[in-house]
Amino acid sequence: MRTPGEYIHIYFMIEMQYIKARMQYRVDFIISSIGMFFSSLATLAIFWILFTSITNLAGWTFMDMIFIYAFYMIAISPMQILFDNIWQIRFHIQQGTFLKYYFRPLNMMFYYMSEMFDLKGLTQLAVGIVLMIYASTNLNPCGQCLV
Amino acid sequence: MNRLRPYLALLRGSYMVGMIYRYGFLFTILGNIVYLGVAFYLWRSIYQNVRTLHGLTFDQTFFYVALGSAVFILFKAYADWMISYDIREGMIAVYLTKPLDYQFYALFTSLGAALMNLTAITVPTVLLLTLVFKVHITPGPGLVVFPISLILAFLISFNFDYLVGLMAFYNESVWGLTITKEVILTVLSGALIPLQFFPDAIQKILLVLPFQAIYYTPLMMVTQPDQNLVIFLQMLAVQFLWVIATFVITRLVYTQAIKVLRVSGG
Repeated sequence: MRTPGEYIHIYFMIEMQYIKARMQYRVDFIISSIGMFFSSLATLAIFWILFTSITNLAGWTFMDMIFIYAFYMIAISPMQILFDNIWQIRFHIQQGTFLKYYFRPLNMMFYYMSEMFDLKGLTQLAVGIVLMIYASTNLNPCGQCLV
Repeated sequence: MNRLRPYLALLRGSYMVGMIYRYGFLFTILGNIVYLGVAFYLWRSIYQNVRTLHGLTFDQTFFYVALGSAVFILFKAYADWMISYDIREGMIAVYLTKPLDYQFYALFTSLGAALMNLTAITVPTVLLLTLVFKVHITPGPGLVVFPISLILAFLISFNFDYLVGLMAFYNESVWGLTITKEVILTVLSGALIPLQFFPDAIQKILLVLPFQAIYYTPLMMVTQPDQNLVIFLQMLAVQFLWVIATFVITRLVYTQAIKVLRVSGG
């Protein structure tokens, strides 16, 4: 049995390799971060456009929607950042490259998930946190309360 | 005709590749049904207190949005992913040595994938729309020009994919550019909401950009099909101009990009 400490050590070792590989395509990395930033804001833009035509959506205001959206972004970030490699399984199976994971003296799922650390997800997390703070300060939590 | 034959073989091949993963389509259809349900209730709440918004009724807007999602899936042929994969893995050398035009090779491969999407996803979605959601479509000349418009829209959409794919000649990985393109396209082309909902100033800018020719133009043709034919012909002319413009641009970029191609492996 390996100790959790060993696993953490191995995790960071594999992760470093991944980050090095990503840095090979530096321009792409920068563009993806910008792209992720914009795609996080795209949904927001759609909300904004909708709310120029209506004042509330079945009782929800624009700020409420921003809050919910920010919450969603923060909630989904850990999955996006740590387990993004799930999406690649399909290609590994199709191409037959999944075989290599059978030959590692490590827990297969641990190794597979360690292989990718989605840096773009950090952009999403940051946007989510900023939006949540922004929405929280502008929200009137008791907008519909009967006082 | 003889010159077209290899391309038709490519089209057939990529159509058949789509059939291998037919279970994948089931989930795409399922996902789209959920999306349609969400869109239905979302737009119904938006139309709660009003009959028309920006000249569109609930039925028209919902039909626009729902058909928009079906067309969106139809156009997903992943030419950009394919080209960047070919370049990264060195497969492109194989295609360049064949007596084929690379752009047409990519176009017909995408077309095969799009036809697969059409039969497996778009048609079932439209059936669902008319049978389950009981969307009423007004007859008019718009319905006749719609298929032509859809083909032109596909060509523009393909040219954008191809252009992003070509960037892989410089960059090898186009992940970032692809998602950036997707975002710009879906928001600015009116794929998610009709352009009428945008603020006036933004709307004016969007109407002179090529993106609206991909989703907004064909979708408006079926949303408001009972207009004068002249209006529709004008719309088609604008689309056609964008097809030509994007084609010329991609050609120019290709002649530059091919010079810097480095193939390692393959």
